[in-house]
Amino acid sequence: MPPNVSYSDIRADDLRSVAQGRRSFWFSLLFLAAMVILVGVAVFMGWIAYLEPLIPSQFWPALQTVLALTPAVIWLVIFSLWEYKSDALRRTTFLLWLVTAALYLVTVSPLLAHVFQINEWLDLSWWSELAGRLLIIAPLEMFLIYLALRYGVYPGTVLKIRTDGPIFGVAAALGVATMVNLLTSRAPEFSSLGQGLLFVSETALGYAVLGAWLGYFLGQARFKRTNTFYLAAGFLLTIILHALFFFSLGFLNARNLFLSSLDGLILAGLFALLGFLLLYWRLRQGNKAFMHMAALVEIKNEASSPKSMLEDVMHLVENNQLEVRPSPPPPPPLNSYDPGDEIDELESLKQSWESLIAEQEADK
Amino acid sequence: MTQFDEAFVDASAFQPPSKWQARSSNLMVWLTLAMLLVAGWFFKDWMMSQFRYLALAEGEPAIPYPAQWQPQPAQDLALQVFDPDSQSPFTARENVAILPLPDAPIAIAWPEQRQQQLHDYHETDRLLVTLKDGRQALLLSYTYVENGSEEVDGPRVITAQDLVFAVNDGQADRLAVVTLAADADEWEIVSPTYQRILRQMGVTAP
Repeated sequence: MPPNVSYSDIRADDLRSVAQGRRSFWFSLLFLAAMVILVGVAVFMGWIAYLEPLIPSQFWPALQTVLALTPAVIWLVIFSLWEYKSDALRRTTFLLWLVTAALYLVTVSPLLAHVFQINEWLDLSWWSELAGRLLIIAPLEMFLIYLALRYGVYPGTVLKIRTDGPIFGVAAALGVATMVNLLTSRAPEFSSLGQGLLFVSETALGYAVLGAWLGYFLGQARFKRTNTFYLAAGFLLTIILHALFFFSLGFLNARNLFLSSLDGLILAGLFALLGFLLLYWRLRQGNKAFMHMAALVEIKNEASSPKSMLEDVMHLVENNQLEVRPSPPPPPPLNSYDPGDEIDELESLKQSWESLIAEQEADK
Repeated sequence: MTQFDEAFVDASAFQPPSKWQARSSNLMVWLTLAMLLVAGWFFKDWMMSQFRYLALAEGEPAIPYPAQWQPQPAQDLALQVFDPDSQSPFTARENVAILPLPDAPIAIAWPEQRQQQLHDYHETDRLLVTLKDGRQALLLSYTYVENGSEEVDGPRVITAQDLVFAVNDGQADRLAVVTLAADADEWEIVSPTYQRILRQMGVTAP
């Protein structure tokens, strides 16, 4: 332990308050996962193909926009319903989603299209796509999420517990996913209702996992003294995961003429399952460590605190180092004044005083 | 917890970071991003000079064209791509045409055909070259005047090169003509790109 930090500097209650969990986060993610599984089943069973001819063509553009918004809205609504008591949490997640989506539209999207001219060369070969994702697309998108979290929630008081990091990370990442979905909604990936549903599900799951992990690293760096490179390493890890996941997704969909496929959805589902299970485990372990440290701090502080005088006396008595004698009866109350009693009282006081002196001399 | 266990517990780690620590962590993230984007920028520049390919048939040469040039479908042409940076009304371009094989030798027949097709045709060079796979080809350099057309208002002098060689499309022998053309005023600018296309096809003088 560095010499400038001692156990007395740490408050056990602070540690305990940071290590709380939020069931709403896991519940809303489970609900989102259930919806994605439902989409997969509906596409696999052909229900979507049956529904599609029933939709009038003039509603199709509006439906594409609705599809693009659906995953984020589902997650936000479920989370908000669960956290109906916490205004700050609900407001922050919604604002993060909205601000990240807006920033994506005015920063990342033009940078990719006009500065890095991604569309001109990304699909030249498999390695150009992988390198382009690793060096340009993933860093820009993950950095936008990082910016939203670092300057939106990190300095304030709204990031109260470690689990809040992943929560805000998911909210910001779903903002990016929504914009990616909206910008792709006129592309062949949305050529049919089934394709659109698969595409938005895959995108939302992928971004949610990546955002949660970036939020986790930021949460760690917020509540613990981590290594200087810790946050950058976490950022780099999410970039690598981003590039590999979306590259693999593109590779699987390429086998289906570049349209979303059930293979892609299965990959996204597995990625989300593994990502969130690992995150749950890490959060749990981290919270346990915080609780453990809180207990240790209490023990240490108790051991080093000065003992009370009563404790000292009790200790002496227990070891027979101090003789206990019954104390003299208390003097009678002086509330009733009687001049006759005054003389008796003085006499009695005098006798007590003399007996006390005699007792002390006898002890010597 | 024993004293031995406590030796491995770093209580200071459970403290929020100091302002300086938070700033240095943040700085490292910015640096990571900057390094990746700088590498990405150079990679993008390199990729922009790479080629896409037009596959003619199995076992036949693939025709390279600059990745960022804009394809535009044209009748009678297997490929037509335009340079998006071209400033001239006659946009610098690369065309690929698959034509019937003439009866006469290519080195004689093709220049004659060009002379008939183009206005004020003036041949500047005629070379017999070999391609990457060893097949013979004709590299014809010439200028002509493009009179008023849909895209060009007045007459303009055009500089061009044709790489002509025989291919088999699986059914019959054909003549593949790769035309690299640009406004004479722009030729110097676009010429390096054309040289790279020829190099990519392995054009060497015998």
